[in-house]
Amino acid sequence: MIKMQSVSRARFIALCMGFLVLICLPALVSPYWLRIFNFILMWTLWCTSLNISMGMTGMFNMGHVINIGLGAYTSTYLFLNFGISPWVGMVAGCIVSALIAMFITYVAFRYKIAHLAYGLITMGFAFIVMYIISAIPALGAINGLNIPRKNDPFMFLFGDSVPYYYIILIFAAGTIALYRVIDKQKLGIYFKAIRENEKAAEASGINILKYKLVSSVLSAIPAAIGGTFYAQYIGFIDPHSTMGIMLVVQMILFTAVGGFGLLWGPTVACFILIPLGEKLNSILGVEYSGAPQIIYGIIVIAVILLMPDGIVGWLSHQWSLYRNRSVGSDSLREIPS
Amino acid sequence: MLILIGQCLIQGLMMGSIFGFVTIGMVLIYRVTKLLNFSHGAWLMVAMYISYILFVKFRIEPYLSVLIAFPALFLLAALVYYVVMRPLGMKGHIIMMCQVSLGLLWILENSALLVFKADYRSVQSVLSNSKFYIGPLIIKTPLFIAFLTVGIIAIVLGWVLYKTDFGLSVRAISQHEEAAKLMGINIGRVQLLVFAIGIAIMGIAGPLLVPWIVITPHAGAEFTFLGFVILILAGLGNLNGALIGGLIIGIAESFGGTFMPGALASVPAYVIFILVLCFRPQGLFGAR
Repeated sequence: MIKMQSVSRARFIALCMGFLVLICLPALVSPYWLRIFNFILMWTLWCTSLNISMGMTGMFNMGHVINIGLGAYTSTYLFLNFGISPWVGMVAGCIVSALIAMFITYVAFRYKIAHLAYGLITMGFAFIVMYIISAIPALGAINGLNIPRKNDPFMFLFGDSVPYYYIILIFAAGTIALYRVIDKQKLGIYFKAIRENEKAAEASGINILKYKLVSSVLSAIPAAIGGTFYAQYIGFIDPHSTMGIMLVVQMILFTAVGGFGLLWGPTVACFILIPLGEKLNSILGVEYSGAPQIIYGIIVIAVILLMPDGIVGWLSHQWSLYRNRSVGSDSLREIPS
Repeated sequence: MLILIGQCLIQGLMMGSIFGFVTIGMVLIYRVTKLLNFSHGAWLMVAMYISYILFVKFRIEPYLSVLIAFPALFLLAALVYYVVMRPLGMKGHIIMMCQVSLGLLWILENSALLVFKADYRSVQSVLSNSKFYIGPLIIKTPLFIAFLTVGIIAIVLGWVLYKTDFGLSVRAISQHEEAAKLMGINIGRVQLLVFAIGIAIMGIAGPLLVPWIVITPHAGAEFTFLGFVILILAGLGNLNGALIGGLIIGIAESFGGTFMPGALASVPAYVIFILVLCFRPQGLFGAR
């Protein structure tokens, strides 16, 4: 027991140290790397939010891009046409994407669409939403929308990367905290029960529809916030870059590398893969476009083959093996198979 | 107007036969290995580039490149199955197999991007621009050849599935894998063969497409995603349904392309998809 406490304290201290480093980061790195860190944190937010519905609840959610796209488009539309601050628009975006996510989940549940088919259905919805948006002139159609660059904190616009960095740091940390809170609550147990065996969960009195709806909403809201951030930070959105299916493919692969259904899985994967991709891009990208992604893909497949639970799952497994060995022969029986 | 509609119908039918053909490969693989193959269209793209290379380097007529594309894809797919898919499938990690196929999609598309850059390429067959008339309707010869070939291959596949021992074991596995294993069917071998054949028939579809389609590294993606729509439309794992679903989607695409504004061309296909989902969630031809 004492040992357990010291382990969790060590973990807490490590977490605080990591957070401290992240807070001081803008003073330590060049603007170029700060930009990359912004992307890392944005992807951490997206992948962690995907992890809530896909990792914890086991819904093969290929439509996660809808949440991001609607978040980005709602706030940008309100900002450009009515001058409403994206801070408010962000909330509106959350509401819109939560409603759409609930609708899709409800439709899929109503018609008893199972595991893999659910992925296809949500993918179909993602395409439909993308095509519809690329046909609406008020939303910029296929050409996308431009957000004017200026320095206006009330309008979620800043002159340089540093304020954006702190904002996305808070959002990403908030999403990880949300995941952690759900994980420790009864809600998380319900979610995992649904993931492991839906029929058994239903037989034990869990209202499947209700918790699937809750899960998709909890996963949609951070994603929509991330979408608004993307729009404000990049200053340009179009249907392909915010709702393209390859975006969700990339999210799924990142999360798989880190470990599905694990708190730190997406974070670790993003912190490894995105700088790696950026480095490869700067070395190879100019002459050999596509080469970085090939190496990426090979890494992803290798990780899935060699560590089915992702990097974090593998590490924690190794750690528990190591700990059990050092305690003594008594606890050897507890080694997870 | 009537002629325009008739033209759309014919164009759609022929396009749709290719969609259905691509989907058949997916259905076969899904039924036997329970894998939703996201990399399917990427293999089609590989086949198209194979016939492009053969055409540019050796002046081989695109239709003849089937003879090389088919075995090449067969061997590549067998290798992929052996190295990557089988270890996962044996442990029952079906979602992970899907993830791996997503990774494969990534690798294949970007390999093509690396070798051929993002340029648009096309292959001029002797038949590329030829066409003939049935009454007032124009029919492009390469499309017609594709349509006929798909029909023939579908009949051959049907014969293999329903008249041979191999087909029997394929159907047995798709019905009940455990029971099939107990009956002495070598599951691993059948899965390997079906996976390889399912992808190798892209080696037939690719050369059929190249005379009249623009080749880009992303040319296959559209086929993958429409393939999934057809898969749902037909009912997961229904072979005949996949062909007919392909025709329906082909017609919807062709009408969308003609009568809808540019960006909305694909919407009719997806609207049909949603309608089927709402009124017949098990698919048009699905049993369950």
